[in-house]
Amino acid sequence: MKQVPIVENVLKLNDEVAAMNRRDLEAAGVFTIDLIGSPGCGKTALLEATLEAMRGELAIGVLVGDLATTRDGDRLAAHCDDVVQINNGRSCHLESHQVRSAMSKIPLEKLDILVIENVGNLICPVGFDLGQDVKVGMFSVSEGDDKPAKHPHLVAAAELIVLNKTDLLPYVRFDRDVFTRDVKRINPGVELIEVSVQNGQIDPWLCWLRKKAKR
Amino acid sequence: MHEQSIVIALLEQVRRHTPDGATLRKVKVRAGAMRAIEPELMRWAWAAGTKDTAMQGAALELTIEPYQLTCPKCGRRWKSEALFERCSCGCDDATPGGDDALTLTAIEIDEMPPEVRPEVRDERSVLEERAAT
Repeated sequence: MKQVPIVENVLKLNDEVAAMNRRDLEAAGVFTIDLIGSPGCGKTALLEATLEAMRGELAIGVLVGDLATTRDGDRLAAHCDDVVQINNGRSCHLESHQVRSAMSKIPLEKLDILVIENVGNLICPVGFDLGQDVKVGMFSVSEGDDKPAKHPHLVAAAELIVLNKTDLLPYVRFDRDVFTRDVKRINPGVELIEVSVQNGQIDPWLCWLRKKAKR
Repeated sequence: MHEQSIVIALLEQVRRHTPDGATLRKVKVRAGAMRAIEPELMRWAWAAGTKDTAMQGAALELTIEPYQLTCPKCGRRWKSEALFERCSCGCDDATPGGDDALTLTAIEIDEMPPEVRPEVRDERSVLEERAAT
């Protein structure tokens, strides 16, 4: 038996394509977000409201990943021309080559911000570089206050955590202090904002986007 | 299950590094604690991906690095298999960390070809076929 030493990144191919994506997005002056959250936490609803609120102010494009259907893509396309639906079959996350293919279908040079709405999943998307500037983790109060502690890798990788559905706080068991403490414990430097897309209360998110688009 | 995607990438990588005519016996992979690898799922995906291929029977040796915990109160740093652990100073808020590297570190091969070799099939198609059933 012979041992052959190698020492090579297993995700080398994904990371190399992600680096190409990042280079092209930076050259076009686009701030790129990888938005990660559970199915049903309100990612698409937040983006719908964002596209309406930012109309005429910031040019936003969206790549949206789902295993099947164009339902999210259709919803978003009602608010924005630059939307690409990615259907990735059986996979639980997007990979950089899928993003690269979708990127080629929208005019990057016209955009200020590109949001990649990842497949609804708190685990698998975290470890795959897509070429984004930042990862944003999204939770909702109806999922429970324990989700950051149960999914710490997303919190650790995120620059921003968005807590949605705060309008449901009177009706569900959710301790803000527990949620906040766990988030800050896992990632002391992460920014945490609360929104209620249902009630149109997304100003903290819009402020964060404006700040990032002006970098 | 991101382990399946990782194994698909690993299969291609290992195939590239395995000399023609050699039989793969073992693959050694090191994963940082923050990579969130579940060893059992990784081994399942490896077994499924290599079945009916020239790599069938090769072992996957997976080393998961421990978390690096940092206490925000006393500054102590230590390594642990646990993501959340109380510091010796009594603080319960230690911050978990560690790297997220995923590295193929080595392969072990027999350079003599086996007398009977299974039919060689494309690893990606085999894994996708299994995932569909």
